[in-house]
Amino acid sequence: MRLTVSEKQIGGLLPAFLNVDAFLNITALGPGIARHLPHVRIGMPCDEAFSILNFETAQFFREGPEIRPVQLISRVGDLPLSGAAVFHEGGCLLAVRFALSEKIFADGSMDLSDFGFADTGMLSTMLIALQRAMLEESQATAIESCDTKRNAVRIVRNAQAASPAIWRMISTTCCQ
Amino acid sequence: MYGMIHRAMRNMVHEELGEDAWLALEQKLKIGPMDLLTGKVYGDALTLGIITEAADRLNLAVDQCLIEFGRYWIRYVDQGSLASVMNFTGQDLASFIKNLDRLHLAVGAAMPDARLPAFSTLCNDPGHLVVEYRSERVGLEPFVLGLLQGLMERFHARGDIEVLSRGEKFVIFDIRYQDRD
Repeated sequence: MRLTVSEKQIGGLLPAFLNVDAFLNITALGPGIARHLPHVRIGMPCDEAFSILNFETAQFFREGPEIRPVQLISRVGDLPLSGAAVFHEGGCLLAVRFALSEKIFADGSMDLSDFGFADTGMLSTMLIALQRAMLEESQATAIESCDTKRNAVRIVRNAQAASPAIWRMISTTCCQ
Repeated sequence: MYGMIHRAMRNMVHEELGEDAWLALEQKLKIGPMDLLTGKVYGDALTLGIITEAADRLNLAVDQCLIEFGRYWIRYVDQGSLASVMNFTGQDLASFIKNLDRLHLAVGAAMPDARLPAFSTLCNDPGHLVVEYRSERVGLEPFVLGLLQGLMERFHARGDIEVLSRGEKFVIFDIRYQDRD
């Protein structure tokens, strides 16, 4: 099977993708790279913009297999990216994604558009945030229920304590 | 609907009318804290009952109350423990609306019983959005209108929202806006 996928479609699936030619020059990049690393340009040598952590740059195209795991870190901003290096006739598609940290999630520097539609890391992070919010609210509900019960007990006790006096008052009123 | 909606409605009534008004509403509907659990999905009849009672107490028509509640909902989730989720959904009006389905994908994973709506951006030009809202629920168009108004407020935009067309399970909104800055 051979699929033809446009650059825009790859960008939708992998907003932080990069494509390099046989000389490791960047020939295409995803919208996430354009947004967060605006200094990265087409034609720029990849290793000028990124450190490739698990490959010797000189050995990049001598690895043999068609797909290898790859980790990059931007030289400006230290943004880590990871994914797969998919080798093809014209070079290599770096099918990478931004590493989503708690900090990035909280500080609003990135948003859902920077991650692919089925990005499991992003979905898990969202899920954890939602569950954390639900836990906090469940805790608040438990405290509220406890307070309500405590107030109800207090009212009953006060009523019990006050009842002889009230009874005396009623009796006095009735006898007059 | 999920209980988070009920909690938000309670907060709105608290803020507008005070705690006693909410307690009276709870008493009338025979509900309590266990009907306000964020992660629990409740029948629509209960949610509608709460909204109808709240509208009555707020002296608003139900549709107007739904609009106000939609606007309030955005402020509510923006201030609470879901603020980071809101920030992560989008950094401007267009991207936020475009990413709503992705947000709902995560919400659906956290609350599998929730029946969530779908939003598609049919047109995304500067200052102009056409958004299709689809839902199996009926009668929530004013709530969605309020949500969109709330989002415009959140992103400091001003403008108008009109309904272009509506069907049994969809409404198409036309949003024309400009950033305040």
